[in-house]
Amino acid sequence: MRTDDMIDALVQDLPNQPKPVSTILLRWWPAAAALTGAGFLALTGVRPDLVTAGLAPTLLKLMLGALIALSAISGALDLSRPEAQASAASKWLLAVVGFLGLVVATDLLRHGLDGWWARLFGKGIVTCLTIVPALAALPLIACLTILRRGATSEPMAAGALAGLASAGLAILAYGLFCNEDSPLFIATWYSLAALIVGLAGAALGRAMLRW
Amino acid sequence: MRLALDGDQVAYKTLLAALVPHVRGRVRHVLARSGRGQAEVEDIVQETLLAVHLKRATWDRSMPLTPWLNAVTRHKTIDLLRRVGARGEVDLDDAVETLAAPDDGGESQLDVQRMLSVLDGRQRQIVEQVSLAGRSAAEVGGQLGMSEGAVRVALHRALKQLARTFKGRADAD
Repeated sequence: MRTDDMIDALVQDLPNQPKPVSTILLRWWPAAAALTGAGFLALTGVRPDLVTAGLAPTLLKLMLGALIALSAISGALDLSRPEAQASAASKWLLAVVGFLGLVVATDLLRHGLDGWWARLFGKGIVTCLTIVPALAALPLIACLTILRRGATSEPMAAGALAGLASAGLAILAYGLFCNEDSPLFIATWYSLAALIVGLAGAALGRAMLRW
Repeated sequence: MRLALDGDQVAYKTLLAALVPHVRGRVRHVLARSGRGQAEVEDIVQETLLAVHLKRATWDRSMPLTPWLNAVTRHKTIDLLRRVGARGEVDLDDAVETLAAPDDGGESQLDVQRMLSVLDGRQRQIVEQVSLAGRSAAEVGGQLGMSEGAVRVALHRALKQLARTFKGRADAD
């Protein structure tokens, strides 16, 4: 086929205008997360003492989840453009790292080192590390499917950010259920759960985001 | 490109035609630097054009076009080098093809029949009419008894199929 002939075909296809990735992603990806999150909470219910005892720690969980979701999804959207670099797209994650540092430092300053071991290891570790990834699975698949419309030069990094972002949304639902209230617990195990989903996203992204 | 994204077909054609020499130059440069023959240049140029077309929504209108275009070109060139690298060098074949094929300024290594043979009958007719005979979607629609919209949908599917074929070709060869 001659290149000129191909141009003629492409010109005839011009009225078929693709929508920007962000338009589609910001509509369907939160919808997928809301669906799984609402389904989960309908089954388990929010923690019974949410208003009495759990308000401040739950707020911390929601802030952490929102921060991870927002910073990672803006990075993933950046990376859907071919000229974007992984390092630049990931810089917003520094906000998450800073926030986690602040949480840990506050906890240690308020309670000292006494009993930090007990504050770190609660009963909910296994629950946290299984339910957060489970809740993140559907949003992650939705996110990656939509990101396929993009054109990333960094499929693994884009997939990892999609995974982190989906875990962030999962944390919004899980945080209303979980009754582990130590900031040390939240900063450690919620982050680890997000990293697990991030790793899964990187592996999936490598396969799914090629173009 | 901004006009083209608003649907101006004349502007789009002018733009794509103007991009070709730039893309071809970059592809030649990368291939030469990696010590490969130039036999695949036109394949990569066409694959890049297809990607430019199908992925045009990923260009940010507020940014200059060149970095985006270069990134697409680099991606497609590296992609081919990697695929070829994975199945071992085929320089002998390339050398023979290069010797046999004079530089005709835009004919890819894949002959039309082979390229189009991946499309089903209707899609293939449409691509032939639009690209080789240079007809508009409305004209082809009248000729085949389809609505203009149906022709466009079929053409769009055919182009995506071509992009996938380009991609799978090196693995299947």
